[in-house]
Formats: sequence, C-alpha cells, structure tokens
Amino acid sequence: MAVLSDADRAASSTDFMRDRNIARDAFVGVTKADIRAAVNGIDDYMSANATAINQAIPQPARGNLTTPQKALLLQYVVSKRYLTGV
Amino acid sequence: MAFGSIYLAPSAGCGPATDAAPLDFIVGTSTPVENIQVRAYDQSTIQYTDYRLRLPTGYAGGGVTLSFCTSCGTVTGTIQIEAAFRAFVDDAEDLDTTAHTYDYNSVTISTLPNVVGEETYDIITFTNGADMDGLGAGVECLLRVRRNTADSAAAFAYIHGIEIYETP
Repeated sequence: MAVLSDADRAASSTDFMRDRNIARDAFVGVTKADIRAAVNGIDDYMSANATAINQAIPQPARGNLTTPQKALLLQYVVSKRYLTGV
Repeated sequence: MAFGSIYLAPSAGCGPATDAAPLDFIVGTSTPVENIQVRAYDQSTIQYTDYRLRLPTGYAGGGVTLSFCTSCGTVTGTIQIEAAFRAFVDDAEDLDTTAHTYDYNSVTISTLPNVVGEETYDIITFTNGADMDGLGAGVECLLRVRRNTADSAAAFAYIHGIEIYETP
C-alpha cells in the first residue's frame, strides 16, 4: 500500500492541530514540524503493515467487510483503546 | 508632539472577505466566568484582521510602534505576527478599484509564555514614510494584521489587543 500524498499528509496534520486547538487541547514540547513528522511516521507504519493488520482480522469478516468498513473498525478499536474519556 | 496612544480591541477589527481571523473567547475561571475576547489565528492557514483608524493630528513624524498583547495555545515553538498599513491619502486612494500590496513588518515571538493562558507583549515598529505607506497626521488608514504560518507553534495564536503610539 502506497503512503498518503504529501497534500493528504499535510491535511492530516493541519486538521489534527486545528481540531485539538478548538478543543483547547494544548500541545507541550512539539512544534508543527514535529506533528507533521508524527503523521509521516504513522502513515509509513500503516503503509508497511497494512497487510499484517488485514491478516489480523479473522474470516469471514476479513473477506466480507469492505476496506472502508475495516478501516472504520480499526478506528473504533483504537478509539476504545486510547480515547475513552477524551 | 506625540499623540498618546490608540488601543484596538479584538472587536474593533473586521475580517477581510476571506481568511478572516475569527473573533473568539478565552474562557476564564472566575465566577461568573469571563469571556475574554481575542482574535484567533490558525496555525496552518494565514488569517487576517483589518482595523480602521485615523492617525491623530498630533502625529509628529516619528514613526509608529504597535504593541501586541498575544497568547498561544501551546508553550512550544514560535509565533510570527505581521502588520501593514494602507493609507487613505486625500483624493488619491481608490479603494474600490485599486488593489493594494501590503508591505508587512513583523515580529517573531520566540519565547512563548511558559503557561498556556498567559500573555506576552511584543512590538512592531514602522519608520515614517513608505514603511507605513506614507501615512501622515490626520489621515485615515487600514491596518492589516496577520499571523505568518511559517512559524512553528502548533496551536492557535491569540491577539488580545494592539496599542499604537508614536515611536519615542
């Protein structure tokens, strides 16, 4: 799986910062460049490990859920794991 | 003779047709809580606020200083504030047909307050003449203020107010 385009990575970084700013969620110890580097790192990891993540989904879900549905499922699990109470 | 000073509150400004810095509020913690008015500048999109004013007749040609009270949603990185004048010279500035090229002066605030919610004071100076678009005593103008997003702070920058005085 290819990595996101430069524009999409920039948009991810921008949208994240704007959303957290609106929520008055202060960043400590990181600049705009640091957050962009974090986006790049996560996207690189997702690109390199997309197959492994897909393989972690057992059948019949792996074969029958669409890619957007599996992406949303991943989002739900990550949210429940890390974002409860945020 | 200097002219004292002019104070521009956030509500004194007006956004341009696009990319206006929104009027926002920092919520205090007193009882009842304060809604502290600010102009909020995005970290990624350059946003502007335009202020209308007239340079007082007491202006003696010493140039002007803009003193900004700002804060930021983070304690890390820098914010860069820029300002430029457009003078409405008598019988010479066609506002509805002539585009103006703003010549910005800037200040980089390289040390943000060490606590989010605290403020800092920094200045931008303009020399008399072309640097302030030829603005003279008794002349109306537009002061355009923006945040240059080439800075590094990953958060909104807030302008609380601007004081303008003749540079001593």
